[in-house]
Amino acid sequence: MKRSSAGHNIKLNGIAASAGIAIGKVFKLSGDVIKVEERSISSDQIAHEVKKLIKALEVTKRELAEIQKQAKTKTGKEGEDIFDAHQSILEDHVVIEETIEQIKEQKKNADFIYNQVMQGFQDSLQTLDDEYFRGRVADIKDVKRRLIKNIQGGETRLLNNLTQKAVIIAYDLTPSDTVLLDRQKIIAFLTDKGGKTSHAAIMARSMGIPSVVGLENITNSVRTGDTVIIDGISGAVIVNPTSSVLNKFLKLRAEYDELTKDLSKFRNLPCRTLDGKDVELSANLDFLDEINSIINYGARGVGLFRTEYLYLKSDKLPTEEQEFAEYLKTAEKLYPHPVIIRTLDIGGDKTARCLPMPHEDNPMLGWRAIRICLENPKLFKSQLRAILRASIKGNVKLLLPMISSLDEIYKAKAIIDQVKGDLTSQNIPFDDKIEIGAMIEIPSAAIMADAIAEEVDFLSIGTNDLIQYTAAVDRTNLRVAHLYDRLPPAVLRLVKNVVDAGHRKGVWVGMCGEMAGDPLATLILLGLGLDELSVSPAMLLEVKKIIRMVTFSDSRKIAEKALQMKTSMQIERYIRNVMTTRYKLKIN
Amino acid sequence: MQPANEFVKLAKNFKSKIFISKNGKKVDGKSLLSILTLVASKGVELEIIADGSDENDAVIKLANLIENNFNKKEIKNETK
Repeated sequence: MKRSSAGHNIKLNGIAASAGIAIGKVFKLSGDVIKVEERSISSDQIAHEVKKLIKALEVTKRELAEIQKQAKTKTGKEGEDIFDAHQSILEDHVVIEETIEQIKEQKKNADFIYNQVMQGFQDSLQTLDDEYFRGRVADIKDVKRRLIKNIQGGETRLLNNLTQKAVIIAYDLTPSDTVLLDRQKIIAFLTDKGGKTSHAAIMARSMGIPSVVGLENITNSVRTGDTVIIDGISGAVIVNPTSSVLNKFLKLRAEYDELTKDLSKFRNLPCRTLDGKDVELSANLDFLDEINSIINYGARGVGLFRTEYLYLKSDKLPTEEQEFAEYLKTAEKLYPHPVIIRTLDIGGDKTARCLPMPHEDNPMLGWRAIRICLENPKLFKSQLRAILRASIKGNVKLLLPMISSLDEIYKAKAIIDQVKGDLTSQNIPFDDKIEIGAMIEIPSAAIMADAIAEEVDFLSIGTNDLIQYTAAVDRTNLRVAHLYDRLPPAVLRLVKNVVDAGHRKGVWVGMCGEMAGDPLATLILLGLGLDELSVSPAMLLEVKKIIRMVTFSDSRKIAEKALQMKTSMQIERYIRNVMTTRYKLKIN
Repeated sequence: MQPANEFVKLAKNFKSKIFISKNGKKVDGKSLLSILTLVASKGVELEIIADGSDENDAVIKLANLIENNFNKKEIKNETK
């Protein structure tokens, strides 16, 4: 560390990977960053590099044996097995022989070549979207890091003893870390690297502790013993808070804990108003391993299955079988509740390595989602086949994103019919009556909702894009983000139009954008007559609580009044007022 | 990783060269990472091949291990 003190109230932002608020002392895992440099070596240095490799293998082997012994006493068989497997990875003679051969052939340093060889195995396992094989990738990385450290002669992480409760900070968390650390003492995970599916994120969700990942430089921003605040809901981390900030978060944490305790009562209760109107309350799903958590939160189904993760994780397009396996698992697990699978919504701010896209000056108005799929029938059909095949085993519905005109609906339906025809002629079963819905997230579609409703079985309003396109505001652009309103009246009018149009044509209407999970919007959305709300798992219970407190007839009056107002501010103030005076609820 | 690792540990006890093949792809049966990438690929049948002085014994014992223990995740692609 170059710094002697971390300073106060330093705020860092990362990816919110597991919800909750934690406050505690930092425990930094040491020596977990590896840097591998590529160096050319001369022919007479080859023997030296090979010797370095062999020696590092021996050292690492002893190290692992030592850790294994400790893990056994700490965690029993689970820990022992992990390190047993790590030994096998370390001793894998295919890897060792290949590394030696490549050192000779490429004339490069041992750590670089070893990293390269292991990367090859990592890549072939990473393409699989399966939690099990992803876990194995974590094991490979773990062993790789340990050996490379020993080749380079740096300090290695043997064992980190937690003497008190702590926030674990690492460059990237590995399975050996989580096995060796005393889980009772961990209150949060923070990492430089990673996304929502990294090891730290998955562990945190399964342990029910907050986590923020992808912080880029947290390891250099804090020292062991520093105090940090973790907001696993927004992804914010505050280092060494001043007492006023600390007090604020202590209060927030208490409120959050209280709320979670209070809300858990609602888990198994129906999402029904006092006067008996049911609203289908489902959850948005970004990754397969969130299923358990959404079930824990009492979701009835998945209102929006974002399938992009299957495409974002690898250089290769997912195969039909890979997609089918994921959809099937989800559909079976949630049956009889519905799973609404949205076809690929890539492009715009989401680009995938497996689908190279030309540079666009204005990608949000460019080649994305259904536009890409309609021009790549092969890509589209592969996903449609996977969805249709899964439909036989559950309650699956299909959702088409970024619909801007009827034309796209006609084209998409024609392709769906072709795929159904193919499956029929191949004797592959599917649900022929699978419901097909259109996402309403472009103003033109919201205006034409009645015509679209004639062609589909349901409509699902995506509010994030609908607000952005209606108000022409990019909310990630800090200079204009303040123009992105929470309850913009123009958008609420569009929502009303869509709901009314859908109902006139006899189809149900849902909402899956962030507004659906905003407690401040719940009364209005209920009053506008939305049949379904699909929200992020963490918001499920809060929305349900509000719906259960009110009557549908009251909410209709409230919505009607709100829609007569002229600005988002007026509407927000009005709703807050109603919530506090009538229902004694305070909304942030 | 248990079942695959058990296989490797057992395979290492034999003098014979051990291979596993699936869909025409053949990998070293004493290499855990090779086996993992193999079972991760699509396919229905695993074939065990041994070549050496204790080849018969090796095939019987390894096949036995697979039948008894490989009922977990790692052969899910085969059982489909």
